[in-house]
Amino acid sequence: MSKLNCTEFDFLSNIAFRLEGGENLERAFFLTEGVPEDILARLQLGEELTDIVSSIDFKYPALTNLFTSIDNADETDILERLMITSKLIRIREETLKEKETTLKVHRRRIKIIRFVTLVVIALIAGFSPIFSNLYEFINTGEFTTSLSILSYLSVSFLLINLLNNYYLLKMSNEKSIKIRLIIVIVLHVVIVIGVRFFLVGVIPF
Amino acid sequence: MGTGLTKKTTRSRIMDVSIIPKKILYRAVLGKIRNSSRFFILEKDYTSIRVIGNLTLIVLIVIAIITYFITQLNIILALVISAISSIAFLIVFGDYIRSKILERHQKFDESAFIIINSLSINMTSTQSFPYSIELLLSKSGIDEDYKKYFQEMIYNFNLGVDEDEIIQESGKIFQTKKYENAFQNIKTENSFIDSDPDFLLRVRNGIKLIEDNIVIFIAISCLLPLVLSMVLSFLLPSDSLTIFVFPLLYAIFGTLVLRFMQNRESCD
Repeated sequence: MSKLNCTEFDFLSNIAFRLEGGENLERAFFLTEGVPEDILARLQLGEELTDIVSSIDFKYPALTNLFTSIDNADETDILERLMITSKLIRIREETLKEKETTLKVHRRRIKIIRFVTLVVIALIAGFSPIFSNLYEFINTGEFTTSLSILSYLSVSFLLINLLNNYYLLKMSNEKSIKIRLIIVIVLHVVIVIGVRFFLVGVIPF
Repeated sequence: MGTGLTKKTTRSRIMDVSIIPKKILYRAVLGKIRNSSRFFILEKDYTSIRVIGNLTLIVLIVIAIITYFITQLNIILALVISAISSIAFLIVFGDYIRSKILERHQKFDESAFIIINSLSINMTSTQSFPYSIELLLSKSGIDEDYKKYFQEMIYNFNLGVDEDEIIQESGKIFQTKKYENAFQNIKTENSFIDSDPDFLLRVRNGIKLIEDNIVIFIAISCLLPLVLSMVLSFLLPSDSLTIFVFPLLYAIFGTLVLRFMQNRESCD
């Protein structure tokens, strides 16, 4: 499978433009920039366009069919329909591109928020031994002097951090969520251990 | 060979068993999309849902037993924690499958008009509906996920089902009424889709919805975990299992909010 050297939107608008100019589909392929070299070479060798089109890796798989449909009758009516469809795809691609750009801005915002909340929750989790000491102090009047990071509280903080990241990742339609969540776990544990070392150094027991 | 087959059937039989009644389980996990995306729910999705449903009960029992002993035989606390965690398990993992189905449906919707237009072009040149569908399938123009749906049309046709009936029934896969009508009128000239304002409107609405939702969600996702975890850590001892109730409730609440947003997005 060979990929186009340009975006699908550029390719289709070029093809539509050539077809509008009265060229046939083969000529339109030759005149359009971005068609892979090997596809053009196969066209030159005299292979059928319909066979060649199936080996182009389109984002919309149904596009292959659109081009191959023309094989069965090369009436002007069909060419016109092909052109209209290309135009429709062009408008769609433009709208989807607009959507992507809007989402990109939000994605960047969400990314910043994700990292800030990740670090803050991990920091709170790191300081959680102090909270439990304070709780003991309020209840019994003395500190327990335990700085263990292995408590239910710190596990629940890890869960909260994971969930928070999962929701924000889903919200911004990110891919490979599982790998990103593993990175979150690693970062969380590193920050918690780092804070513990800091606490051991600061609090004299 | 024989043992292999038996093994396979035993395995599939085990996968087929659902301790929770299937109707309730599917309704709980899939919700509204059970009707709106019914053509995109594959057999393997149902299997995963059944597995998740069975695992939910195992999670319920195991966590109930563990917390019962950890909380020094406090049966009410053990039941509450295990119930919340099993519901969270069901909802979070169920939502994962649900969003996969929605993604599949969305992908189809985006290229639906190309499928109809291709069919329409095929119809003009071949004048035969089954042959047009065969042409559609022959050049890898269709995704594997819903290829079966179109293959079934040819299969039904070969079985002798009335062609018009097949066309009427099969059009239901298209969510937009316009596409459905276009498919059902595929034999006539006017089935060709030459303008598509619905799609543009839907995308614009989708963008607006995401923009609105992001503000709400950020508020929820920043405030809830941060403020409440701080407060709770002061209120509860760090070795109390009650602490787990909070992240689990957050899991249920967060997923439900996400699901609500998805519902609105797919229904608009």
